[in-house]
Amino acid sequence: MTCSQDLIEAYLDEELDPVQHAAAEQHLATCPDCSQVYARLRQQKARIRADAPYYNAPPGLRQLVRVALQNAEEPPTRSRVREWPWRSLAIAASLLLVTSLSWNILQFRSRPVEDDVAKSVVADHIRSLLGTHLVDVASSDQHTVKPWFAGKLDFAPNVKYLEAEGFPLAGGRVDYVADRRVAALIYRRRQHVINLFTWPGGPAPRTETIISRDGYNLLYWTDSSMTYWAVSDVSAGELRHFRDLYK
Amino acid sequence: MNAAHNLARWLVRDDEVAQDVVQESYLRAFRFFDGYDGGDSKAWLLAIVRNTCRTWQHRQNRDTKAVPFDEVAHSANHNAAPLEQDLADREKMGILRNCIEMLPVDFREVLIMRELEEMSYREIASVTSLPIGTVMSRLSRARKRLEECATNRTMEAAG
Repeated sequence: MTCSQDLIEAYLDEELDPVQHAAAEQHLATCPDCSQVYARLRQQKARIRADAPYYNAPPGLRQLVRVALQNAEEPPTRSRVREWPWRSLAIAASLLLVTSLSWNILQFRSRPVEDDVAKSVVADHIRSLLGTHLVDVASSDQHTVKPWFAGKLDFAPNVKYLEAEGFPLAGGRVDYVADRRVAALIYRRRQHVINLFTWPGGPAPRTETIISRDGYNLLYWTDSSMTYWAVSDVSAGELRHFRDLYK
Repeated sequence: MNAAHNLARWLVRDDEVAQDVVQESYLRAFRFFDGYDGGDSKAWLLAIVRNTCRTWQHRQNRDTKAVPFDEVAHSANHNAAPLEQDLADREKMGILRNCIEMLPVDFREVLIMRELEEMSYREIASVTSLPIGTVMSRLSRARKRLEECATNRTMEAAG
């Protein structure tokens, strides 16, 4: 990889796909020039967020806009009388959407729990790959893996057999995610490892987005009783495919 | 509405005008709702805010028959043409914030959307109707200018 200002900035803005992201990360680790540029940009980004005010709408503005919108509605005429309610409804729905969007963004920003879990899941994943402790019970048979957890956890994980679909089971282990004991199921996809962490309960995700972190893709979902977090360096598409098979 | 107001405030750099712009934008959104294609509603609304700001700026330039705002703001000699704020005010404002306000609007808007609204390149491209490559190069130039400005100001302040 060669030095490129565009790439550094796209990396900074988290606009690269996981593969490019990992490549850029590697390059930054070995290229002093680029890492210096990157450090300066990162510092600037932090300063902008710290020093540049975010101008929230002042409290009175909402009311002003509401009144202005009401006044804007022309007196109903024969032809318009049917159109306006629709229009108001549609615009109201749209504005609501904008509000809920901002709300979601706020939620996302102030969602340390999800963030903590993501961090913890990635750390576990990396640990499992680095060390020798990938599996406690090595087996491609779900009927071996599932009973193995009995007595080690206070719940029975749902273990699926997906070898025919190209995700052979490699085994299981007990791990910790955000301070609780969870079941980790290890699946393989060609040369890649997918760690699937599962435990009972937990809120359903609000979106279906793939979370990208440290070059890994994360995806989580819930069913009626369990939460599942899948993490791997396989592509986002493959991870989704895995999720869909699992569901 | 916060996003609409924030963008407007950074683009027009005036509290009262920003509020007028938001109000006007919502009215426009209401009037031209047919133009909404069902896509990203935040991007759609911000695009209207952006256009409203641009209209205001054109009107402003025409009425005052002055050199366009941003050229004044970004002339090589900063001291020659102070903005609304006097110098004492400016010092209080913080160098970085002031430097952002000094950026030409084409650069300022992408920077604000990226760093304060935390929008993706694609979302910014959709608001500005620019190709993603242009968004990237403007953002890059905005950052470069901002760094130059901040460095110069810091040195001025020190010396």
